[in-house]
Formats: sequence, C-alpha cells, structure tokens
Amino acid sequence: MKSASPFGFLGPVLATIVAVALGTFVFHRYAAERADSIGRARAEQAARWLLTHGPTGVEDLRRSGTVRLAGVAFDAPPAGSRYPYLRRPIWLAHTEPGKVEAALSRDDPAEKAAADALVQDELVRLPDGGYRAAAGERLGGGERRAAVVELAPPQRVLVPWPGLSMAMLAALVFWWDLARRNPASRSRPVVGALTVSVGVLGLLAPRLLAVDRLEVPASVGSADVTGAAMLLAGVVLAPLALVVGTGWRHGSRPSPHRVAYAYIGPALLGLGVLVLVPFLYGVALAFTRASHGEVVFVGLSNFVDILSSAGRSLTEPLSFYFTLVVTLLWTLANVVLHTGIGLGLALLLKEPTLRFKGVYRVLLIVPWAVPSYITALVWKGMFNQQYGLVNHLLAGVGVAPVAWFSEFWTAFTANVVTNTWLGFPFMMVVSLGALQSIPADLYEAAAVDGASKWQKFRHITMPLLRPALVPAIILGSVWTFNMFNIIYLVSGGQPNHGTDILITQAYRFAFEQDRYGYAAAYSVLIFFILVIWSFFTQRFTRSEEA
Amino acid sequence: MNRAGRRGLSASFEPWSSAGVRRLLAGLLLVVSASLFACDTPRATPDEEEIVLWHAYRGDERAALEAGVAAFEARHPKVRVRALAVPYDAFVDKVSLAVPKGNGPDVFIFGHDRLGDWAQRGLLEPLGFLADESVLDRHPRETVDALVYGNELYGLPLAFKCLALYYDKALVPAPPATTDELEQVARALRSRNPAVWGIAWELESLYFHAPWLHGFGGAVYRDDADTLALDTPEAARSLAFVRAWRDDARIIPPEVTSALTTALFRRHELAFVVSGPWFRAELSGHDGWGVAPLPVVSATGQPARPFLGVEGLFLNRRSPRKRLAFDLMVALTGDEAARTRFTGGGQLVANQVVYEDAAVRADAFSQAFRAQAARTVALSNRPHMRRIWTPVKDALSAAIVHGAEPAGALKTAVEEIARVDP
Repeated sequence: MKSASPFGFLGPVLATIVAVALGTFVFHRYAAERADSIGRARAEQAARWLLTHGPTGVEDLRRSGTVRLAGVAFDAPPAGSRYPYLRRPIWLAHTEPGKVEAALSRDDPAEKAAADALVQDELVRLPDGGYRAAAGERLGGGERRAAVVELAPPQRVLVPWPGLSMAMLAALVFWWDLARRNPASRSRPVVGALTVSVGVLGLLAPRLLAVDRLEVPASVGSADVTGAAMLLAGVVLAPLALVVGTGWRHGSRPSPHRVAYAYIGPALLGLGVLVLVPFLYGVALAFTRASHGEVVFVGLSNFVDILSSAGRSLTEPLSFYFTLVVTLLWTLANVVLHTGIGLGLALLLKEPTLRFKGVYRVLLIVPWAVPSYITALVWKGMFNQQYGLVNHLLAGVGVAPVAWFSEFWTAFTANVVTNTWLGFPFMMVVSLGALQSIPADLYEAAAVDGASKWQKFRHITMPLLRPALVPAIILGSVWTFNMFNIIYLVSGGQPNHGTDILITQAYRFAFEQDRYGYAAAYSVLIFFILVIWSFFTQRFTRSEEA
Repeated sequence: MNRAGRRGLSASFEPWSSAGVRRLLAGLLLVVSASLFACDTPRATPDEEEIVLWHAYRGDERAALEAGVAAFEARHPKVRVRALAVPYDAFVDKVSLAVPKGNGPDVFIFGHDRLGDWAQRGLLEPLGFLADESVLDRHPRETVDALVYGNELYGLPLAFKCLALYYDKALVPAPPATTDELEQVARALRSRNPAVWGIAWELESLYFHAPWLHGFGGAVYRDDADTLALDTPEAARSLAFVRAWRDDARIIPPEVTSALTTALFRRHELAFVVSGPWFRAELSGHDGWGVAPLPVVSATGQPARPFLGVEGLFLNRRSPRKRLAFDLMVALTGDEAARTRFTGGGQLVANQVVYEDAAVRADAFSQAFRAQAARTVALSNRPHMRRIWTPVKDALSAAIVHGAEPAGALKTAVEEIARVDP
C-alpha cells in the first residue's frame, strides 16, 4: 500500500467541498424558488377557491387558521331562468374575521370601494414575506365578484436535506477511499453507518420534497418530480464526478484521460439530457399517482399494488405475475423458433448442391425488409375468422373456422406466428455469416475421419457458431421481451388482456387509463427484469469467451 | 442572407478568419436568420388587442373557422385574432400545461369530455356571468347542457357528434323504426343470401354500445353522482340483447373491424352500420345509402340513445381580456359563422337556426343527425369517465364476444374501476 501524497489527499477534499457547496447552493436556490411558488400558488388558489365557495369558504379558511385574512364578494343565480347555470350577482362581502358582520351590510360604501379595488386579479409578496392574492371580475352592467386572501410567509421547505445528503455521500466515498488505502483503519464502521444514513436520507428526501398542505394535501407539481429526478441525478453523478475529476482510482494523480473525457463531454451531456433525465423522471414518477399534470406522491404503493397484484388472484390476466409468465413464454417461444428456423434455413442455403441460392436468400430476407406495423396488420387480417386467409386454408383441409382471438392459446399462436415471420430472417443472416467463416478444411478433415453429418454438425458447426449466435440470441430475447407492435396490433391483448405482455400492459395503464405513475412503476419493474437478465447473460457470454 | 454576404462578414474579422471560425459564424448567421423568419408572424401593434385561439382543425374545417375569425376581425378593426392549429394529439397536454403557467390561449376549442378535468383544476372561466339566455337559445339545449360541470357553464357549443344508423338503400327500402323490425329485415336478407350480414358496429366499445345500454334503461352513472350504474339488470340485458343478435339471430358478423365494416357496406353485403358522421368520408364515391336515427328498442319501447359529444369553445380563466374573448366566442358560435362551418367545413354545427334553412332542410344526412342529437345522452364530462373505457371494453368483449355471463362481466368491470380509482 503506497502512502497517499499530499496532492492526492487534497484533491478529493477539494472536490468534496466543491460538490457539497454546489449541491447545497443548487438545492437552496431550488428550495427558495419552490417555497415562493408554493406560496404564490396557495394564495392564488385560495382566492380562486373563495370565488367559488363564498362566505362558507371564508368561514372554513378562518377556522383552519391557514390564512390571515379572507374576503369575498359573491353572487346568486337569477330566479326563473331556463338555464340554472346563468348567474346574476348580488353584492355580499366578508373581510377580516372580526369585521364579518359589518361587511354583511351590502351597501356599505367603504366595503364597496375595497371590493372595487380587488376586482382586478393581483398577487403580491408582502414585505414580511407573506402573500396577498385577489381574484375577481368586473363585468358589464356593474356585475362583479371578488375574493381576497392573505397568507402568512411560507415555511422554507426541504432546506438542508439535499445538500446534506450529497455531503454525506461525498464523505462516504471519501471515507471509503481512506479505508481502502488503509485496511487496518477503524473508519470502516463509520463508513457503514454513513451508508445507512445516506440510505435513510434518500428515502426521506422525496417525502420532504412533497410538502404542501394547504388545499390539496400532498399534491405536488411536475416541478417536484423534476426536483426528485435532479436529486437522483446528483446522487448518481456527484461521486462519479469525484472519481473522474480527481483520478483516485489511478493512485494520487489526476486521470490521464481528461482530454478524452472533454472530447466525449458534449455527447455525454446530450445523452444525459435525452436519456438519463427522462429515465430518472420516469423513476421519480413511479412513486406518484399522476395524470395530466397533477401529481400526488404515494411512496411505494404503486409497487406494492403491482407486486401484490392488488386483490387479484395470480392467475388472472391483469395480475403482474400472469403477464410476466406470458411475457417469458412469449420470449422463449419466439427465440426458439427464430433461432431454429433461421439456423435451419441458413444450413439449407449453405448446401453446395442448392441452385438459385441468391434468389432464396433475397426472398427470405423480405419479411425483415417490410415495416413490422404493416406485417402485423396484414397478419391480423389473415387471422380474421370469416374473411381471413388462414381459415380459408384450414377450410381447404376440412378444419372448421377458428376464432383466433377468442382463446388464449390460439391468440398467442397468432402472435407468435406473426413475430416468427418477422424474426427469423435476422437469425438466418447472422447464422449464414457465421457459417461462412467456418473453414471448409475442418469438414474435410472430419470427412476423412469418417464423421457422420450429425457428428460434423454437433462437433464442428455448433461450437464454431456459438460465439456469433449467442449475442444474437441475447439481443433477440431483449427485443422480443419488449415487442410492443406485434402484441398491440395483432391480438391487441385479446382475450381479456390474456395475451398482453408487460410493455403493452404498461402502455394501457398510461395511455388508456391515464395512470402514469402506475405505468412508470410497471416500467421500472420491466427495467429491473431486463437488468437482471443482462447481468445473467453477461456472465454467460463471459464464460463463453473464456 | 446570401453566401457572399456571409463571406464578406467573416473576411472583415481578418485575425480570426480560420476555417473553423468562419464556419461557426456562418452557422450563427444561419441560426439568427432562421429565427428571424420563424418569428415573422403578424403580431398585434400596441394599439390593437390580440386574442389567441387554439384549435385542432385541419383542411376544410380549419378554413371555415378562419373565415369566421376573419369576419369577427372585420367587425372589430382594433382586434387581432391569432388562430393557431395545435396538433390534436398534443392538445390536451399543451392546454393542461400552458394554461396554469399563464402561456395558454385566450380561447380554445376541444371536445367536451375533458371539460370536468380542466374545470376542476381551475383552467376554465365559468360563463355564468358572461352569457345570457339569448346567446344560449341559439343552440340545441342538449349541446349546451353537455358543457355544464358542477352547475357551472364552461363553454359554448360549436359542433356535435353522435352515432346514427346508416342503411343500404338497395337492401333496405326504408329504415326500421324498432329493433324487432330491424332484426326481421336482417334475418330476411340473410335467409335470401347468406353472404349478406345484417348490422355491424364496434361491439367491444362502450361508445358504440351506449345506444343499447340507454335504450334498455341503463346508464353509465347514477343520476348526478359519481357512482357507476353499470352493474344493473338493465345494463346486463343490453349485453344479452347484442349477444343474441350476434350468436342466435346471427345478423352481426362475428369479428368486426372498421375496415371490414366499410368494405362489406360498400359491397352491399351489409344492411346497417351504426356509426358517426365521420363514416361518410369512408363512403365517398359510393351511392345508395341513407342515414336515419337509431331505432326504438322493442323490449322497452325507449329509443336507442347514443352518446352526444360536443365540441366546445372554452375561455381561459387567466385570460386578461375575457370580455373581448367572449365576444369572439359568441361570434364564432353565431348563425353566420355556423352556416360557414356547416357548408364549408362540413361540420354538424350546434346551431338551431342553420337546420331551419331551406337548403339544409333538404339535406337528409344532417337532418338525420340533428334528429338523433335530440335523442342522445351527453357523454359524461367528469374526469372519472376516462378511467372506465378500458374496463367496460373488457366486459363487453367478455360478455358479447367470448361468451361470459353479462351480469358477472359488468360486475367485474365495476370492481376493476373501483380498484383503479378508489
């Protein structure tokens, strides 16, 4: 273990300080802005709310103690109108709690003047930090209604936590580095404790971000989701920046690749903006109930709902596990068929005695060249019960017409057939390429040794194909797992969502039922499944290479 | 900005005139000139007032709307109206996000089914103070009532849509008045030629099932409450009725898609289609069809009532010039503008006077839909409504197509909706 040079020690400390200062500054700015926007929105909403709730609303606000002052001018529907929603106002005003009675005298000139002043919408920040909002209308013929509200200064929400948690995270990395340099150090338990507290803070942070309790409890705007996404991004990127910026991992010197990092910087930034931020936004959304701009933080309840399949039995089509099993089955069936057919055709096309190989090859690649939407719609038409080609052909051999999308297995088969049609050319092309690269002398040598066709395939073709085929199969499995088009367009999930896979189900939750939070949670789970799968396959390919 | 101009400019910065800098300057100039062009839309001068109007119309409908806007501008020389076509797919999100931030339009046009959502979130100005009876009397009452949420009026109706009965005049001389009559006609046609089908609509869609649901005395919601009325015996009977037509009478083709429906109808192999005004576009170049109001359900004696959808003009609650914007709304829904939208835009306008014109009286198509509009149930505009389409679709699919028991399927749907929206 080499001793750390003073520069190497100073680098991380400086970087930590900068990261903490920056993080704290950014989040303080954010917190102040957010507190201000909450205050403004509350005042404005309270005034708007008063406009529709009138005197009882003033009473409610007074009793709840959330406002310092509230007043309203109100109206009543005209008698005998054919349209009960037409309004003719009568003048009626309330002001401060003590002056309610005085204000009730409708013709009080002072009261009228005050109300005149607030007929215009206004929203001001008072010198003491409170807010005063007025909402109102002056219409033709002296008609009007108005409401005014004054709020106490808002409490600063979420002030120290994000900065603090980032500081702790940076400290954690720092201590971890010290511990790594000096294994005998006693700092290890400290590192453990810090890890736990950072975790706890991470859990608390979204809750602190969602403080808003005046009219709609726990309702947070999309700004909060962005805030949470920023927090997550900070937590992910700060230690990364430390490691990259100070070059810890290379001993005490800064990274020698800094120029390279500078070059890829713009691309990285673009990737961050276009991929990482939406991704983290999606993750943050998974902890909310969201529909069209209205967002309510609900913690883990989406995940709990999905994973406990919320009151559904596990074998019901809308339960997560049923859909997961269908998805896995779908992936397995497709990958097996794609590989089997693709490899079989490739072997046939390699047959030296075969003529017009070029023609076959082009024809077999055609399904791949046609856009998958079109193929899917064509196949859906072919599976039509009365007019579809498939049932016509079946009728030719004496089979009664099948209602393909009425039963699970027939609908599933229709999907698989369509996707196999789309998928095998890729596997065929990959196999063909790999087959070309197998040296012919191996086969000649095997022939000299008297090997049978099967033995040649088993001991020469298969082992030499594997390095090319395994990555293709892994790729194919991921594609198939999320193959939205075919499922959505061919069976459309019929019957009763039985043939839906995870991704089409997530789509339905989001865009057919407006459950964006729930759909986001679904997508996060899909992501985790694919992460696990890719870990698994990475190991597999690594052992393959070894 | 031409090429020579760019070259001249960069040449004047002699010390920096490396290729890279020159290219950078050229790019910058390009961006600046492009943004100048992008901003080159007419803006209101200081002594003019500007009203921004968002709509999702295209083609003829857009031209007809803009003609109405131009007429308004001609009468108000100091007012400019900027009519912006916003893509339909992005409309809801744009309004939901822009209006609360104060960037929204003063007036916008959209279907009334989103109204409850927007009203609840305070995006819309109630029109109770602005409108009066003379304004509302111009419109069919049901189209005005569709724009009411929580006893507040939030819009003025421009146009309406509903389903009606299309029939093939070669197969059916006169449209049937009752469902029994319709079934008889269809059965007779089928027995004469098995290739001919009786009637088709999107069996699994609540929108298309609604006429029968209401005809059997059912409803989506119990009166004035957020509780669902879908798990009632009436609703179950309407499902059983459709299933009987499909499986016992065999007058409905078992697997219906909209493309197939059009193809069969054009080939004279389908006697009736339940569809909306948009179906006319599918029949261009095809003659010998008519439209009539949907028949009376024989089992109950009540007419089959489809959903009524109303395209409304809504007023932004944050608009700084509501009175003027409301004047524009009144003008655009007025008789003259409605006539233009009817003749030029082909819209089924929500205006009574237009349908009294001699020329329009002779137009069987619009008269049939106008008559049907009087026998409709307004599509609910509460936010909750959006959550029920998929579960009910599943119930219809299960009960009508896949042979499940109707009452049970509806009960499942109601439970499912409750689970989604506690």
